[in-house]
Amino acid sequence: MSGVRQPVKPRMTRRAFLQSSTAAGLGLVAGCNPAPPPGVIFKGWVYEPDLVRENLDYFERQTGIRVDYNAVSGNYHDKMVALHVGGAPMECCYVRDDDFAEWVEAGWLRPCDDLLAADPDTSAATADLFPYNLSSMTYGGKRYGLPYYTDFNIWIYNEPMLEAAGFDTPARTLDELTEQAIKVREARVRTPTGDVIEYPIMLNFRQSVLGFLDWWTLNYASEATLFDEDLNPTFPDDEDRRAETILQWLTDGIHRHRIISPSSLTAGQMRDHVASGRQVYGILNKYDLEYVNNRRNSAAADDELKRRGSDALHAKVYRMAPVPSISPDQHGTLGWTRMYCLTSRCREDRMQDAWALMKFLGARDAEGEYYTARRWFRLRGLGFAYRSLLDDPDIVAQTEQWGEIDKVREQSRHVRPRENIKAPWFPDFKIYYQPEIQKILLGQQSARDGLGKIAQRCRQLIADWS
Amino acid sequence: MTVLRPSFFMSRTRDFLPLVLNLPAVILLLAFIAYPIGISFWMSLHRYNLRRPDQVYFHGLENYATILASSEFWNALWISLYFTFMAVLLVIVIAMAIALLLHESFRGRGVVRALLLIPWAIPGVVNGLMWVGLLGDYGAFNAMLEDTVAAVNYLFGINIVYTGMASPFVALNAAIGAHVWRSVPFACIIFLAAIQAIPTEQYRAARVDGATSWNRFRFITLPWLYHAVLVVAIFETMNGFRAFDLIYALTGGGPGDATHVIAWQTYKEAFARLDFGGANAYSYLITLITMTLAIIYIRLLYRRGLVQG
Repeated sequence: MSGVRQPVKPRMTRRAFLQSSTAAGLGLVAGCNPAPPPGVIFKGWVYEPDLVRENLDYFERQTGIRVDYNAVSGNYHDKMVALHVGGAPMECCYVRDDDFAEWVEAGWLRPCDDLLAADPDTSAATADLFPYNLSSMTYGGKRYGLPYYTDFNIWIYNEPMLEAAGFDTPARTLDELTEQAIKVREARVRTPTGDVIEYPIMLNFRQSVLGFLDWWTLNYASEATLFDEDLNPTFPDDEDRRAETILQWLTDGIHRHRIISPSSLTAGQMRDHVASGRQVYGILNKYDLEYVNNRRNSAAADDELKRRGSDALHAKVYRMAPVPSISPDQHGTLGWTRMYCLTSRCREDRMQDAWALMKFLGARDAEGEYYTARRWFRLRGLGFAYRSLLDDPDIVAQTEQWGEIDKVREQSRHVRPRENIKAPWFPDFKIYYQPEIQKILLGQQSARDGLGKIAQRCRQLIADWS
Repeated sequence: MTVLRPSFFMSRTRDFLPLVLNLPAVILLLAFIAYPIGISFWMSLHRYNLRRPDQVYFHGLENYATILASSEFWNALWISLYFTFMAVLLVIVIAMAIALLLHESFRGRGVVRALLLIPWAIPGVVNGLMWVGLLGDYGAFNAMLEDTVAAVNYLFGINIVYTGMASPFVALNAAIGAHVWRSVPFACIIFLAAIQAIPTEQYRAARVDGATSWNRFRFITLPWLYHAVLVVAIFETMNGFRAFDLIYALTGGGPGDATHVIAWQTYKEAFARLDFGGANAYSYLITLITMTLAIIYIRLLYRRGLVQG
């Protein structure tokens, strides 16, 4: 053994370090500006990305067009704004009606009137659209999108609980609902886990970018008109002061009658709350009716099916009804539209491919079928924008498993989109009115004062944006 | 004896070499810190709303004037000040108490010290979501609060209606509690390090002089901790003013505007209104306020001679 210490050999020479650093730096620079992938670049929010990919695989097989699909995780609006501002390559993407006008105004979306004009089949499908969907995809007289899915809010009630409280039909008006809910609470109906239901009604008044749809739903159920043709606010002095009456009913329901849960101001994911069987009444997206009546997701449905000794998948525990209104002759509800739009950065050489993809997803496939819309309904119960599908035998049969097609047909006749959703100041309005309405519901201000403040802000926004 | 003088080239190399070697770091700092700071200030002087990309123009301090004239800003500022004051106070008191406890010898001290770090390791949004569960309708904390209110009602014959997170008071203070829970470990480590640096001779001498434990804390421990208190106070003030992720996940700004802290207001300006000019002005106002508070802390403690320069 030698006692001489061997010189330590450096693992990397200075020259090698410099070379590899330079190479890494160049790689980084190259990576900052990658070549766009081949095919149509398509982005959407994260909803069942595997099913979306299956749809796209089918499209690719049908047409031979390649689709580069990317599900944008997290806050879709914020991330897409960053992508649009950064000029990320993108042919088409999902767009919510909430963001539609904003994105058109910013110049991020491309109208598709020229493509529709050159495509009589897809153009003809326009006549099959529900009017509120068509209106939601049009801005400044130009058409921008094809529908992804659409739906409307429904009033739901737990039939076994209502029967346990001695009622065989749900209340039709808000006053009747107050009386009925008080009696239901006094009857001490219980959840599947045996807890007494303290508040029979729970609504969704949590502040969020997509929230507060229940406020619009209740207003539209009473046929309130909140904005005039020029988008000036009509409240608080709208016809019969309906907006004020509804807010007063809500406030009384929370504080005076204690029939509406105060958690309405904070709880998210209403369908899970409903599915747990802790709620007698509420407002739900129509497509969630399948979810809450499916025993796989719903303790309420499972409990009912076990009681009956049935091994079926669905139980019609929750049923839909017209949304309670101020007077019984009023009808209406809120609807929304999610759509596919071409972006203004859609490359010319991919335009026809992108349009073919849009048609496949938002209208008919190469065989003339509403393939994607039907598949979404079949697999997830998502609503569709084409009226003719309401008479499709498969769709009728499937709806009857967890709902009632006649009620769906009836309700779909009274759907309205938010009146000011296409105002350029809608995002400003959205962040202002939600806290103000919550303050009304908390009893921090009167319904009239709160509505007056919101109207005042609307007028100020109109002036700012005009 | 011959004196070797460096050649002109060698001397220049020696002068520039440190600069050259530092250049990559300087470039990175300029690109990723100085440039964004500068460009955001420049944007704050513009009307820059992404919804109107054709109407971007310089309009001086108008964004600042608009913000300072808005009730939303002042409301958010007061809420942020309350949030920050309570958070700083609670973090200092709780962290100091835990640090003093962890300084003592007891079995399992190492495990407890390791466990203490867990809240600090949890990201803000995850922290918020965890507290959503705890404070939600079926959460353990919510049940505890509800039972406490019921007990108070029973004992005093009163009728307080407990509304959980729908109560503005509960929501704001719950957010502060969740923020404190996450911030305490960091402060605790700083205090613990400071406590360990206190010479033990001083405690021994104090004991010989018959000082009580309170007096030992007051006249030895506390003065030695002033520097640590200053560091924690500045950090926590900045954290309190920047609290966003927790509010985003826990309350969404509600109920009403009870938890509209200033960072939340900035987020709404940037991403809900797409007003990047206004949002940048908000950011600079937050920076200004935080900096002012930090200067006040330093001045106060230096003036009293509590912190050595």
